[in-house]
Amino acid sequence: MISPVLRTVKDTGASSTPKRLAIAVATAAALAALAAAALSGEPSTALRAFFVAPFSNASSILNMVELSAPLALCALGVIVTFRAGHYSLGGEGQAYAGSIAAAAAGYYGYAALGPGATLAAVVAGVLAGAAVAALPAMGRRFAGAEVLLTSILVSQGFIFVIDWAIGGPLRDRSGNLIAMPALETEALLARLEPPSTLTVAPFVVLILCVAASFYFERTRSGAAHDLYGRNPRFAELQGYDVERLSWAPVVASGMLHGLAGALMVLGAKGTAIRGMSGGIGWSAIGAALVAGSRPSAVPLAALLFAWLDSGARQAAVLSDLPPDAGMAIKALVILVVSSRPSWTAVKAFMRRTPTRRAK
Amino acid sequence: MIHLSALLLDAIAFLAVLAPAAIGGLATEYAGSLNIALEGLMLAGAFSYMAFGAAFGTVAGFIAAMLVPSAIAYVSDLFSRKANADSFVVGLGVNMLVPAAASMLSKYVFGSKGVAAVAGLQSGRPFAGAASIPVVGALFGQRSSDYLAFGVAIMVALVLARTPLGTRAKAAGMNRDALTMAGIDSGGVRGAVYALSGLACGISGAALASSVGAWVPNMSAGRGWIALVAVYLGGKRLGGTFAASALFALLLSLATRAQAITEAPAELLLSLPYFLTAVVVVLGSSRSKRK
Repeated sequence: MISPVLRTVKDTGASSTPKRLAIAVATAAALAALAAAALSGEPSTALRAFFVAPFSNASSILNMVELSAPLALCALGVIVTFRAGHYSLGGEGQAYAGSIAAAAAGYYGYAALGPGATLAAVVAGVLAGAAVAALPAMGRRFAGAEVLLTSILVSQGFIFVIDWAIGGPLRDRSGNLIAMPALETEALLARLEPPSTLTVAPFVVLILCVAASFYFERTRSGAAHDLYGRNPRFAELQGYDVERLSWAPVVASGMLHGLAGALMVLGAKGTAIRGMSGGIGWSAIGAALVAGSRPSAVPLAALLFAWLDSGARQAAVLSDLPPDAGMAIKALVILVVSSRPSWTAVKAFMRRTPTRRAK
Repeated sequence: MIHLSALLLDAIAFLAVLAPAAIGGLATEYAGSLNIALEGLMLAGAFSYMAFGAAFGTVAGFIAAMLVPSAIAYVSDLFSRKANADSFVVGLGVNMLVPAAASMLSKYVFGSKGVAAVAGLQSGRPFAGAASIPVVGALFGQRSSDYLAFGVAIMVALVLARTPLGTRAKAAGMNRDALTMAGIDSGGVRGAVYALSGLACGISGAALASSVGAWVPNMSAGRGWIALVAVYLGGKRLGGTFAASALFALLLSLATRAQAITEAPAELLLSLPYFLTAVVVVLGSSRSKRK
């Protein structure tokens, strides 16, 4: 069993969600400005790329909202597992599996189903995510295997397999990009506000976040879910169905990750591209942390990370800022948000410092 | 057909990468706060070896490969203790930060964000002449960096098993308050153990980089996570952790060698050690549950 300290992850950092979000936004903005100033030879261009370009017109803003949707779904998946005390780190493979399954169903199913292939792609994505999560979930249910270990191993294994499938038997040989054939436009999600990439995905996210909030805050099952995450033995003594809670949240999280992968394919990407998950599983853990493990705060946390991604990408194109600056800033935001310095300790340190200097 | 001596040769090289990191992870588990950042620290070691090695030579590369991850691990633990941050989350942050930082620095150090080979940084095989001895020859056919990695792994194991720091680390993991009541700074003990784990992961990374003499982005490729699994699969014991690392090393070696004798795609073969390890974890957990 992983040490009990892990059971407090959702309590780490600032106590209230708005405070935590405010800290994350302020930290991200400060670090973005610092990165633009320190790492770029054209700081004013890099600053504009971070702070002006993503908000320069309605289309850019809507693109960012669309970009945040898959990340928000993955973050919601992380919350579902973490609040049950399962530390699944397999989100990356689950989302990637969702992508390839959705692309396959959308492409090969179009001939038979027409526009109905969109729904088939969504279902295939959800099921593929669930299938990748099922192995760690069953390991937990029947053998008590630690999800943290099995989820990362299974995910890593599937990433290799999917890399092979996209680069091998499913590859579209007509182009240089290592990707599956592009889906027909009718099989993709309709763009609601062209020329932006906005689709229905962010609205799906909002509905699921509201539903998850209701589940956790207002239902007996949600209370059992939380209680199991804090103390499985106590939940068992209360008569809750702990056997179900030992695996169901892991599979539910896999479904959400799979849906995220499917929406990436059916949205801006248009097909499954090798390596397209691009660290979304890890970013999602950060977004879940910024949201304080509260589903209602997930859309804002995901939007913050989408802004960092979008800003870093634009800064890399318009100036010489390294594109990885966005990932580095996200990591530092996670570190800052996870901290909860006690004011007593800070005051004690402040009092002690002059004394030390005097000595 | 896979030759046993070739299989063992590769397996021992893989073990040189896995064992130090796994034993480093075990040290932090003893201290009651598992360092989840083994993957990032391993990568930091690989990058430091190549960056400092390119500028100041191989010896400086190895020293930097141990000191830089050690400092990162110490500071991350200090941060989690002083800022009341969860060590799990801090570890994840380090795992995200290191690849991004290495990629950014790579552009300045090597002039490229991609693969950077540096002449003279690939370790030699000092006892290659004895490698032809059947079976045991595999022990002599390793690179000098692998022997160094085994040396560091043994040193960390001895620190844990035979020194006051090892005893205090175990005491900190069992009952931190009791340690404090005995007048020992439990935070300092944890910090020292984290630094030790960083050092061990660093040499793992250096062994990886020096085997190819090049920096490859994300070259640790999940080996830090496998090291973490070895800690648990080995029952959080020194011998068990080493044995679990050896099992994974053998699986990785099999997957690599199988590429030469089968038509199966490399990616599928490389996925097998991860699936097999997951199965082993489940079977091991099932056995523990029955007990």
